Amino acid sequence: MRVYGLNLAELFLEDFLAGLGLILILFAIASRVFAGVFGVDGFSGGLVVATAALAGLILILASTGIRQNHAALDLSYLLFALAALGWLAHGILVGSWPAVLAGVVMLLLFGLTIYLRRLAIQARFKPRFFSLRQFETMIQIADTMIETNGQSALHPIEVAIRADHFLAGFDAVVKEDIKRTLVIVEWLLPLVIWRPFPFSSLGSHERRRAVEKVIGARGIFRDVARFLKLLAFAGYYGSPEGMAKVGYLPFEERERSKGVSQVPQQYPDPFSPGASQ
Amino acid sequence: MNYKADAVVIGSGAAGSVMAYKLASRGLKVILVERGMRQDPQTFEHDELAMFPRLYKQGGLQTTVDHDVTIAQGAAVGGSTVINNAIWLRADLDRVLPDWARAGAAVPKAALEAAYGEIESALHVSPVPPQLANKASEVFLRGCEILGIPAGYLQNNRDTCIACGWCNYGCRYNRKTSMLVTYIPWAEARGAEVLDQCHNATIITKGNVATGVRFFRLGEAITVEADRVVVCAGAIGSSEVLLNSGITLDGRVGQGLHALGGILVMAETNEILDGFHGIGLTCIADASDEYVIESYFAPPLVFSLGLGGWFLTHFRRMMRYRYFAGGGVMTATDPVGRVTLDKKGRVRIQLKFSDRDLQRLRRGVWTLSQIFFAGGAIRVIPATYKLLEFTRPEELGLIDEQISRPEDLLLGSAHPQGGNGMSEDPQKGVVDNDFSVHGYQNLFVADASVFPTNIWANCQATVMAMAHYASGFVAQ
Repeated sequence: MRVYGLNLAELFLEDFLAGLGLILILFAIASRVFAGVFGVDGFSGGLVVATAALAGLILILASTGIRQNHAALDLSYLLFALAALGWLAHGILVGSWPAVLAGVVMLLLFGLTIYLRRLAIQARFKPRFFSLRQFETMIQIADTMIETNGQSALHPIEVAIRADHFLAGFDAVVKEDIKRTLVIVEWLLPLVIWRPFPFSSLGSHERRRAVEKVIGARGIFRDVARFLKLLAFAGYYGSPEGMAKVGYLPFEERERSKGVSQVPQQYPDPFSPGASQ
Repeated sequence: MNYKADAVVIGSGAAGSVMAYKLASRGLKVILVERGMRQDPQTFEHDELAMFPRLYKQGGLQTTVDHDVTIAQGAAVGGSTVINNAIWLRADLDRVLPDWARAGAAVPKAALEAAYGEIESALHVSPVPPQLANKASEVFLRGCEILGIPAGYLQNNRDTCIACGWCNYGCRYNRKTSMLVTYIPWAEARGAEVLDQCHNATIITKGNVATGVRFFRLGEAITVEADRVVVCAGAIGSSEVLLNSGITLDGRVGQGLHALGGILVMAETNEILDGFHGIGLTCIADASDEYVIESYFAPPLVFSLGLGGWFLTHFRRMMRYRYFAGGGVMTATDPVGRVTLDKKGRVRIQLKFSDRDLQRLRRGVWTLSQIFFAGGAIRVIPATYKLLEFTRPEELGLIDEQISRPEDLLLGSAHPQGGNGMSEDPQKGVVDNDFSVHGYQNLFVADASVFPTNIWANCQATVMAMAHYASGFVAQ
């Protein structure tokens, strides 16, 4: 199994988020100290300061593992966006230009974090069929569906890559349904277990619980479960590693193939004039 | 670019290849048009994931609109003969032809038998050699013998097979006498021209006379003018071509689709069988007129999709892959399915297994499970949506309880038929008894889509025989 370390973009993103988080916390403290300058001395001002501080804290937490802490990362992005909009709105309402400026800077930084996160994912994968988000979903689907008790022959990322490349190789009506399924899985499936987070941000047990729910269902959710099985198994059991794991032996390595002519056979037309029947 | 020919044949599978060869043999200038690519067999890989996109229609993911039934068909020069199991099973004409006659289709038994005979000699048809069959077949045959069910090795069109077990992904050794390595090069040697990668083929008509075919090939619009247009694109594809050409015959085109299809049944044993080692589909059991039972074993990916269970349960079963035998139960659906086009011109397949079909499949699963238990299986697992497994024959009563709807099963078919049924009555059929499309001149359909009712057998032999028979009418 291949081990996947952080790439350069991910390393930068981790450091960037940690630094950004610290700056946000320091800014929250400073703005409270100079409350008059930023106009944050009332209740709503306290709220935007607290939001900025909390966003900074969660960003630092998320930066400790941008692959593992999906939920923290999503939450920190959400809080950061709220803080930026909050500062902007608050600044306009109380007529504080420093607060407006802070809000604008935060929005710009938020845009930068989004861009960097996208860059970090793109640097890892170049999906041919899935979108980046769908690819993230696919990785978690593979991790959920291929439950191996530690005996997996293939990393879920490899499974996702194989499924992605497979689907990119042909035209089929069902491919649109597969894309739709991944959107449903990412955004709606967690709701069946009352988790308002994307599927790819859930922990392994929660993901498993969500999938179990649809296995027992009928109608559209049954299709979802079918597609999950298809995608995960295609990527895993369609790989040489997965095949070897279950005991499949390539033909070239079997006794029967030894000494047997593998030269392609030719078939002359038996009905052509002069052909001997 | 424009071509001129005496005949243009759409589809290069079992029907189109034989048709092209027979017409070329009569001295006609033939152009054979195929949507898929012409592949070099030596590039075929023992890799399911790589070969599905290369050789299968829609990458092997062609399904009915409700996704309940997967329909496997080839999409390459040679059609499904490149990816089938090379099983040569003549239809029971004493059963089939009376059914067809009731539908208004008169096909003489003698003509079909003569066609079978000629093609069999050309394709080296012979029984599957037992020493090349996978060892899991022995479990199947042993079970049949103990239960007193007549069974034996099937006929197949292979020559000096070396039994790699990858027939469904193209034979890289040319030991399967598929159309790609037989009738197609033979037709070419007689002057036929093969054009692959031809997309969006439509039939050109002037009034009610077919005058050629138009399609796109490698970005170029191409027209073939021909005195005869023969559609041999298979049960789904032929309806698609006709409908895309605006030929609907008041909604009859595409109607009456049916299939021989069903599910896989896996059986775990206590001995290492290595079912992947040897020819995958080898034997048939003559257990009933209501269903067809054949032994079958697949490489890991397809096996895993047919194996019931989820998560760790499924993985543990897969880790016993070497200990499994397998088989399939198929039944014939009624001709009530339909091929239509959506707003984008893409094909939509409606095909249902009725309550009667489901009842037959349940009985078939029961029989096949009994066969496997008698043969030494310790666990039998039908391809069901939720895990259903039996460890003793006494548990088989659960089949009726657990399989209550078609969607409880993982259904599939490699033998779709109908859609352009043959009938002398223009109000009932799409083609007349001479394979010409009702109401049109110079337009013929000659493939599995003209079968008005099911032939209850793997299709390729009868498809080839029918094309052989039809070629006489087309050439006139």
